[in-house]
Amino acid sequence: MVNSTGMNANLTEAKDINAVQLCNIVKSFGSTKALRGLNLELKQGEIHALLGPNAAGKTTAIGIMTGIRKSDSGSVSILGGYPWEKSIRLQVGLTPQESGFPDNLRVSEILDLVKSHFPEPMTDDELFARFPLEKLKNKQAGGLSGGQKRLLAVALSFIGNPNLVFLDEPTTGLDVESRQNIWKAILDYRGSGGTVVLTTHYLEEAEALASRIVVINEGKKLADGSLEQIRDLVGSSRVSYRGDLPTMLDGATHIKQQDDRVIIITNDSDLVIRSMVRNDLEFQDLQIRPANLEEAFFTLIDNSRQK
Amino acid sequence: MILYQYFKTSLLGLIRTPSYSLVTILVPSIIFVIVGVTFSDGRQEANFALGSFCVFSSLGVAFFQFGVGVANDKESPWEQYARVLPVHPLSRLFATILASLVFVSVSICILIVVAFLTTDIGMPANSWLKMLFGVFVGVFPLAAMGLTIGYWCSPKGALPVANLLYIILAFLGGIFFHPSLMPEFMNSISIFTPVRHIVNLTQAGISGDPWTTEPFLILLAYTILFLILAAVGYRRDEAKKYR
Repeated sequence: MVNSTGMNANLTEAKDINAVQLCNIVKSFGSTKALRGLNLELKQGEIHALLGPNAAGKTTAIGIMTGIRKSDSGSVSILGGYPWEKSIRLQVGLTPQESGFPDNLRVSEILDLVKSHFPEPMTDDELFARFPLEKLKNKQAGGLSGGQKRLLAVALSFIGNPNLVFLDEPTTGLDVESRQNIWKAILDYRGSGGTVVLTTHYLEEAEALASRIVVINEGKKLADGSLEQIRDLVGSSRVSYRGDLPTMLDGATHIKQQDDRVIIITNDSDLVIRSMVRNDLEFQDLQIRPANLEEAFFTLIDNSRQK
Repeated sequence: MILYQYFKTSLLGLIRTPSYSLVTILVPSIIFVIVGVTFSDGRQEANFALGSFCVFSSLGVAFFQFGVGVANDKESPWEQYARVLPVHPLSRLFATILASLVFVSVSICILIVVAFLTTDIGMPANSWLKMLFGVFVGVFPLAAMGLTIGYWCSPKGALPVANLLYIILAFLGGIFFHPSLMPEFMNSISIFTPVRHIVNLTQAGISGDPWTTEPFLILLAYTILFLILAAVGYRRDEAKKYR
């Protein structure tokens, strides 16, 4: 299924060249510091998710990786070259910002236009097998729904059979079915050896797709690693109960009150329970389960703010 | 082929906005019927008026389709996307110019038909060719001026600026009445407009007067000047948006 025409046939020979390498990138807009010395090394053949709260610098970072923006200082290398070089742009797939298209062009005309830039683009059949756009191909872009535009935007990033694809919030505002379609296309693409760098607001999306996670906050990298590594960084278990809120507890990496429950993230739930008992805390309805990425993520961000 | 695709989409985009493209194409013919015809008592006068209104056609397309179009495009997310596609910006620009040339040609063809129907025009083939060649030469400085408007004006500001310059240049350039009928003070300003020199070229072509190199050099100078201005505007805009 993945593909018969040899997508990525022209994959850069040296697989050990990083897909993305950012060294000490600094970028300000007026008095706002968007990036404050960002270092990133993203390997080929993975799906990398850049996570971070709003205004963390994710979109600015993507802008620098795609050559839309220039950094104030620091160096950037994409597949071993500069992002604005034509030889690199031929290997990179992107989506238009805000899914903005010329309103009075038909979907098929937009597809043909973008296709014409690349030496070995997908055929219509390949494209329509991955993205359900066939029924829309004679529609003008101005008449598409938000979800259909987003689908077209994501399809455009894959149309040139690139080695590396950047997706900024690929499924924001999509219904479940369209989101599943896009997820499947992304996973298929990785299966054929492609590399993806995506940002997302949905941590479940990162969990479903990403093999590597980078957490960015306030223009700097907070953590990176596999899903498991990120979870373990802050604690792999989540203990919750109704009762007293302790300020400190042996074994807890993060403690917070959420509605009527106290939530504790920890690497050692046994130790946490023992110290709860030792400290005579009131607790009812105790629950212990593995922490998910979302909890790990917010713990990381909270802890970095407290410092 | 990239160039063809950009040419095609650019043309389709224009055709599918008829309120805009029809007005641009037809305005010279409409004003010719209202104003030009009254100046056309006599075959040669009608010929001169036709030549001037052909310049008016390219002025309109250069300013409204090209200038205002560039100003609108530069803010669009699609344009920002096209910037990071593997294509040279000059290739895209060239395709847009070709699409505009198609519009100029259509506009002029309609104008010629209208002139045949409403006036007594007629000239030897040689004069036709020289007149049209003069109009063609004029496209370059006008397109460069359109680009300058496009890169220096905001999308909202471009339309009024283009309108103002369009009217002023058409009057001062001697499109609405023959330059020989201009009051002296107006004539002295007129010779500083590129439009006047294009009009002079077409008139000389029609009357069969020999062409001198002077108007060509002046128009070349204007083209270079406005291309430089446009390039500065382009860089300024890029620096502001993509720093």
